[in-house]
Amino acid sequence: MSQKIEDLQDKIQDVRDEVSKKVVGQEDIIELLLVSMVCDGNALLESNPGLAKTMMVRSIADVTDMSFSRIQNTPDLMPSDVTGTEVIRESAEGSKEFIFEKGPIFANVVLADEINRATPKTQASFLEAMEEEQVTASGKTYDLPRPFFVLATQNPIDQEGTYPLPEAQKDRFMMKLTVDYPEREEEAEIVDRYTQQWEDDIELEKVLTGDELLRAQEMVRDIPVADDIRDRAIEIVANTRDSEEIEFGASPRASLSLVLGGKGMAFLNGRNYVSEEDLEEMSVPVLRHRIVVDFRAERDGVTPEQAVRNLLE
Amino acid sequence: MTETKAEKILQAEKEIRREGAKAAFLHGMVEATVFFVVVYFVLFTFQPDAVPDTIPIEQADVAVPGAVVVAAVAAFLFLIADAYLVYHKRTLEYFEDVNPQINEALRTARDAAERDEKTEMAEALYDDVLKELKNTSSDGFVSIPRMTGSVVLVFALAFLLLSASMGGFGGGQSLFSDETTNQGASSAQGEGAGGGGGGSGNAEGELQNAEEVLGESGEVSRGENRQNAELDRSGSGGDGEGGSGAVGEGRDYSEGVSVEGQRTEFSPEEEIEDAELVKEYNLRVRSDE
Repeated sequence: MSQKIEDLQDKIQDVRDEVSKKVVGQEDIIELLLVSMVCDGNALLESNPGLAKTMMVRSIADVTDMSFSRIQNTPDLMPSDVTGTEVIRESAEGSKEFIFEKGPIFANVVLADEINRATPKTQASFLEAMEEEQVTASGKTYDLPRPFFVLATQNPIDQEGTYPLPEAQKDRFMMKLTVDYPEREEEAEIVDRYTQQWEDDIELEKVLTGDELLRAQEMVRDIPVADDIRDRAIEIVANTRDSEEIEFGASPRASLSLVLGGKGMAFLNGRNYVSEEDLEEMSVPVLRHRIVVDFRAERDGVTPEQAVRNLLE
Repeated sequence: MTETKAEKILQAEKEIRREGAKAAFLHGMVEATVFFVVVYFVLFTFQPDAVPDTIPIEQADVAVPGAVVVAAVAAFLFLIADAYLVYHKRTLEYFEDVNPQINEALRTARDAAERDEKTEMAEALYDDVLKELKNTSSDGFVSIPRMTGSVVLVFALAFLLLSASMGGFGGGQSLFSDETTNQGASSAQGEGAGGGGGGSGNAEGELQNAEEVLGESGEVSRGENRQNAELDRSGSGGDGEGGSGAVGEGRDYSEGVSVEGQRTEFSPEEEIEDAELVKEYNLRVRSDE
C-alpha cells in the first residue's frame, strides 16, 4: 500500500488511541463513529444517560482541528436556533442591514443531544442540513463547513414528551449505535480516573486535520469492492424486505450505507478492499434503525438487532 | 506500450487459471480412470442386455467388449465435464482456498481490473495483490490426498476386477478377444456336434487355454517336417454333415494323422501363431469337405 494511504490510516488509528485516553472502553462505538466520519455519514447514538456520549464526541473533535458544537434539543427549540437567523446589524457607516447569524449547526462536528425532544420541524432542519450539507435561510443558501458530521443522541427511556424520529428521517442516519453499560473493570477505571483528576486535566493531542479527514473520505470512496461482496450487501438488505420477522425492510439507501460502511471499516483496519466480515460487522449498525420488526416477532422477543443477525445466518 | 497494473492483474489471473487447468486435467485423468474402472466393473458384474458383448473393430480385426467401450465413453465424458467445471468454475476458488491470505483481495482486484478502476486505492490494491501473488503457491491445486485416494481406488477396483475374472465371477469376458478365432471355434463346435456327434463341444474354452489344446510346451525345432495327412470323412455317427471337429476330443478323422506331432511343437511364445495354425487347419479341413 502506498505511504500516503498508510499514513492516513495510521492517523485514524492515532485518533482512536487519543480518544481512549479520555473514554474508558467503548472501543467498538469509537471505531464505528470513526467509520461514520471517514464515510462522510452521520450517526444516531442511543443510550441511557451518563454513558459519556458527549465526552466521546467532544474528544473526537478535540483530537482533530475541527470545530465542535453541541445543541441540546428541547421542545421549544426552533429551527432558526439550529440553523441560524438573520439579524439587523448597524454598520460602521450607520446603515442597517440584515446579516445571517450562523447557528450552531455551522460546525464540523455537531452533537445534537436528545434529538427526539425537538419538535418535528426542528428535527427536519437538522435532517435537511445532514442531507444537503447546506442551510437555506431567507432565500439564501449557506454551505456547511466540510467535513460535516452530526451525531444525534436519543434516550431510550423517559419517552414522555418526545417526538420519535419518523422512519424516513432515521433512514438518513448512516448508522445507529447503541452504547451499553461498561464492564465492572471499566467502570472501576472510570471511577479511578475521574475521581483523582478533572476531565480537562487529560490533554489530547491533535493528530488529524480536517483536510486529512476529507482526504481519507475520498480514499474510502475509492476503495474497490468485489462484485460478490457488493451483491452480498444487496442481498442482505433485500432480505429485510422478505423476512417474516420484519414488517418494513430497508431501502436501497441502506445498501449504499452498508457497502460504504464496509469500505470505511476496511480503511480503518488498514485494508484496501472490503471483506465479507466488514459487511457483517456493519450490518447491525446500518440496518437496525431502518427496519420495523413484525409485531408477532416482537411479541416473541425479537429485536431489530436480532432480526438482522438472523438474516446473516 | 507498458502494461498497466490492472492488465497485470488480469494477466496474473490468466496464469492462475492456466495452472489450474493443468491441475484440473491431472485430477480429471485420474478420476476418469477411477470412473472407467467403476463403470466397467458394474457392467462386468451385471452384464445388462443393452450393452453388446463385443463391438468389432474391423480396421484392427479385433472385437472390443461392449462394456469396455461403454466405460471408456463414460470416462471420457466424465473427464470433459470434470475438467470444464474445475477450469471454469473452481480454478480461482481452489487457488483462494490454498492461499487464504490473498483470497478476497485477489477477487476484488480482479473485479476492479475488469472495471478498469484506476483510483489511488485500486492501484494500491493491485500493487499489494501482485506483491502477494509472488508469495503464493499453486501447489495446492493438486490435492495429494485426493490423488492418492483415487490411485488407491483404481488399484483396489482393478484387483477386485482381476479376482472376479480369474474366479469366474461374472461373464468371464476378457478385455480383448480375437473375434475370428471365437467365431471359428463356435463354428467348429456347432458343426462337430452336428456331424461327428462325438466332439466335446467346448472349443471356445479350449482355445482360451492354449496349453490344454496344444499339449505341454517344449523346445521348438526349426525346419520343415512335412507329413501327409489323410482324413477320413466318414463320420462314425450323427445324421448331419460335417464331422470335422478340429479340436474336440471326438474328432472324426482317421488314425495315422500326424496332428499329435505338431502339438509337441507348441511354444508359449508362439501362442498366437499356433492358434493361427489351428485355425488354418480347421479352415482347410472344412474347405476339403
